[in-house]
This record gives sequence, C-alpha cells and structure tokens, in this order.
Amino acid sequence: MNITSETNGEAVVVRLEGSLDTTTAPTVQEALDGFVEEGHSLVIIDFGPTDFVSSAGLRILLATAKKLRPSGELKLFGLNPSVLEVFEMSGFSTIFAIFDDEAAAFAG
Amino acid sequence: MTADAEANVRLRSRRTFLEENIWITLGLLTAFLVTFEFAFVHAPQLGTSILLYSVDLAFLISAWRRRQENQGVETSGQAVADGSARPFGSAFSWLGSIPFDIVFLGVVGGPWGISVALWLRLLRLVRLGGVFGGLRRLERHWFTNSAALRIGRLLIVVALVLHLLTCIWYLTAYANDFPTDSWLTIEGAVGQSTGDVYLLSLYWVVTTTTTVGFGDIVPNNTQEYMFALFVMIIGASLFAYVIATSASLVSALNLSKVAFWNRVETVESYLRSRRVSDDVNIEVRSYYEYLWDRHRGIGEHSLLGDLPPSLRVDVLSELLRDLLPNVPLFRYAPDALRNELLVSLEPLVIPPDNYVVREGEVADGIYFIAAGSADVITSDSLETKAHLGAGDYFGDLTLMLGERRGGSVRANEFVEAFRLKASDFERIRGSYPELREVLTKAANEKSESVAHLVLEGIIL
Repeated sequence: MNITSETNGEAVVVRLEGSLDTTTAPTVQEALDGFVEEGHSLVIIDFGPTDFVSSAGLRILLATAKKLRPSGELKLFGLNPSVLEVFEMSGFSTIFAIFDDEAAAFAG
Repeated sequence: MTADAEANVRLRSRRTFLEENIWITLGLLTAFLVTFEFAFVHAPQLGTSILLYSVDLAFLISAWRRRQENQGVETSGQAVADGSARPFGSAFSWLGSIPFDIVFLGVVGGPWGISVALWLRLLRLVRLGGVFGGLRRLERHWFTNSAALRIGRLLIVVALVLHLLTCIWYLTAYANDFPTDSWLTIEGAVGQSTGDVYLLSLYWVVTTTTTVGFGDIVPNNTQEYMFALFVMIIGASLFAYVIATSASLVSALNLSKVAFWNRVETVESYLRSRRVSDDVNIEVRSYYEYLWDRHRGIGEHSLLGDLPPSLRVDVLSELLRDLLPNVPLFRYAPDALRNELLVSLEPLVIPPDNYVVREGEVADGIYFIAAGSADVITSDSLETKAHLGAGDYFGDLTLMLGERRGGSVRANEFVEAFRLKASDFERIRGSYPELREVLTKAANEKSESVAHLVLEGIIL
C-alpha cells in the first residue's frame, strides 16, 4: 500500500494505492489519524488507485469519519465499481460523502 | 394470475359448487317422491305431484341447455370446461329428464296406459346416478377426504334404502288389495292416513334392518316372508356398510395431524435410542410444536415443490403475506424481482438459543428476519453487540467482501427467517440489475447499526 497526500488548506487529499485490507489497514489508519490530529477538518480520499477494500478498510474509514465529526468531514471519490457496490449495498454511501472526482469532492 | 382471472375462477367454482348441490338435492327429491308416489298411488298427493313435475321441468331445462352448450362447443371447437355441474351422465341425460309417463298417457291413455305410465315414472330414478356423480365431484373438487361429505353420503344411502324398503313393504299389502292375512290388515291400519301407514311401514323396516325385531309387526303370507328375508339380508349389509364407513371416518380424522406427530414420535424415539440428552430432546420437541402451531408441520418449500413456479409465487405471496412486509427487500423490489426472490428464498425456523449463523463461518447467503428477535454476539465477549428483529437482515457484507463472519447471531425466541443463498444472490444480481438499487435502499435504513458493528470489527 502506497499512501500519498496533498494538503490544501484545511483539506487533505489522500491517495491510496493498492489494496486496503487487514495487513495494510493499520498503516492507513495511522496516516489518517495523523491528518485528523494535525487539525485537518476535511479528509478526502482518492480511491482511484485502490483495487480492493476489505472489512478492515471499511472499519478504519468509519473510525476516521467518527473522529472527524461533528466539525470535520470525510469524503471519498474515484471508487471503482466493485468498491462502490460494497459501499452502496452496505448502506455506507449514506455515512460517507461519495463523489465521482476530486473537483466534485471539493465542491460538494 | 391476474385479478380478473382469479375472480373468474372463484366465481366459476362457487357457481358450480352451488349447482352441484342443487342437482344433488333435486335428484334425491326425485328418488324419494317417485317411489313414494309409486307405492301410494291410490292416495295421490297434490303437493308431491306439483313438486315432482317442477323438478322434472328443472331437469328438462337443464338437459336442453346442456345440449345447446354442447352444440356451441362443437361448432366453436373449444374444449368443454371441466367441473361444470351435470345433473346426470350424458347417456341417461334424456332418459332421466323427459317425463315419459305424461307423454305415454297423452299418446295411449286408458287403464292400460295408466298402468304402464306408473312404471315409466320410475325411469326418473336414473337421476340417482347424477346424485352420486355429483357427490364424487364435490369430493374431488372441494372436499378431499372430508368427513362431513362422507357422513352425508352415508346418510343418503341409508335413508334411500330404508325409504325404498318402506315403499316395497307397503306394496306387498297394497298390490294384493290388502288381503286379510297381510300385515297391514292384521295391524288394522287399512284406511288410515298415508302418513300413518308410511310411518308404520318404516317402523317395521327399521326394526328389521337394525336387527331389533320387536315382533309386533310380522310377515304373514309367502310374499311377506320372502320380502322379510330380503330385508334382513339387506339390513345386515347396510349395518356392515354403516360400521365400515364410521370406522374409516374415525381413522381418517386429522390424517395430516396424525402423520406429523408420528414423524415427531419417530424422531424422538431415534434420539432416545441414541441416548441424546433430555435437554436436546426437549428442544427438538419444542421445535416441532412450534412447527405445528405456526406452519401445521409443513415447510413451505417442501409443500410447494410440486407446484409450477407461477402458482408457487401466488401461493407463497399469500402464505407469507404477514411476513413479507417486514422484509425491506420486498418493500422496494419491483414485481418481477420480487417473484424471483420469492421462489429463491429459503424459509428457516430457528428455535430459541440456537444460532442462525456462527462466527468464523464462510458467507453462505443473506438472512432476512421476518419474525422473532436475535442477538449478535462474539466469542471474545459476553456482551450483546447488537439486537436484530423483524425487518433486519445480514450476511450481505461477508458475501460481498468474501470474508468470514466476525460474529454469531443467536435467536432469543423462535425466529422466522429467509435465506437468499449465495449462488441465488449471484444469479439474481446478474439477471436483475435493479437488485443493487433495492439493496441500497434497504441498506440505507440500517447503515447506522451496521456501521456500529463494523467499528467493533464485526461483519456479518
């Protein structure tokens, strides 16, 4: 898992490359926790380069969303169809704001 | 089946049911009246004659209408609808409905004509064939194995036989113009009202057929002796018929209940022989009790295996009408998808304290709870992680993510659930893209509780 980030004021865009599963989840969680602790109120995750999200991945996303609340927000974009299906059919598309691309995520 | 077609079937079956009953009643009325008038011909009753000829008219109109219908069917080439009421078999159709006696009297007339006409009246007895045919159709279409219908048939047969014997017993005296040694003369009943004489004759027939034989009325001449012998033999047969029918009625009572509890008994005796603990035995017993109370011992799917898919959907929708509204999937699914799900869902009954699914299991399908409640628990904690009730469902996440279950679901009480097996889920997802939308809508309702579980590291 390769994690890259780009800070844009209050917001931070995180790119996750590879699979978000049990083995990589702790590293991602650490990185996301770091951004929350740094005071970023808007965390945007680019799922474009992400192949797969396991339940461990869902868990850290939910945990981050919870930590950001109520003042901050977690946004996702670029989800591939199978990952999007998991989010939709699990009902998590109501918990996370999901967008098509980065521009929409910033605007939304 | 469309609503119109359903209404048609209902109307048709109700009408034919009513018709069958009317023709059975009229056929029986004919049999009683014709024989009564034949025996008591010297004392004509205006009422019975009017009644008899009215029934004749009904049969004549029916035979005529039937002929018209058949002609119509032949010309249009359509099949004759099954189950429509027929007062009697087509071969005897005209024989039973035309009042030959009146026709004969009109043509021939005179004393000789009257005597032949009297016998021709008896031709109406062919309507009895229609009575028993009607009873057979009632049993086939409406009352399979019905005790009431069989009792009804028994009473009809007994009443008819007793009535016929009564008429003949009276005739033994009347046909010879009441000789001094006839039973009627000895009883001093000559000249009494028709009702009294009929009753007296019936009294002798009943005491003889039931083998009571008080001996107050006895045969006195050759003819009477011969007939008495005949009645005794008939009486014994009638008696045997009544006993046999009653015995078979008792053994056929609650046939399905007996079969179900016999199966339970077999299971219990097997468990006992294998020394299974009492606790398990009690659980098994309570499961069967629930199955009987709620489902009359029948699993919906085993019952419906015989039916074609379209009929299965109709029956299942009715059977599950209380449960389906609780399952969110059905609330949102369009009709075609709903029907596909209906025939694919596997109904489950989970007894209290039993597991619906267990932690560590590989995903095998999505579970929908329709009634009852269950808890989500994990092996590492005694705490209940979540409470599931009617309308909740789970199993979708493990299925989509291809992971093992992170927790168990244990029933608190009897839980009625449906399982959509993994293979069916994949199949339906492939052929019905709308399933995704439906599941999304349903999932939105439960997102908070699922999120809570996922945060705890539990996926189901």
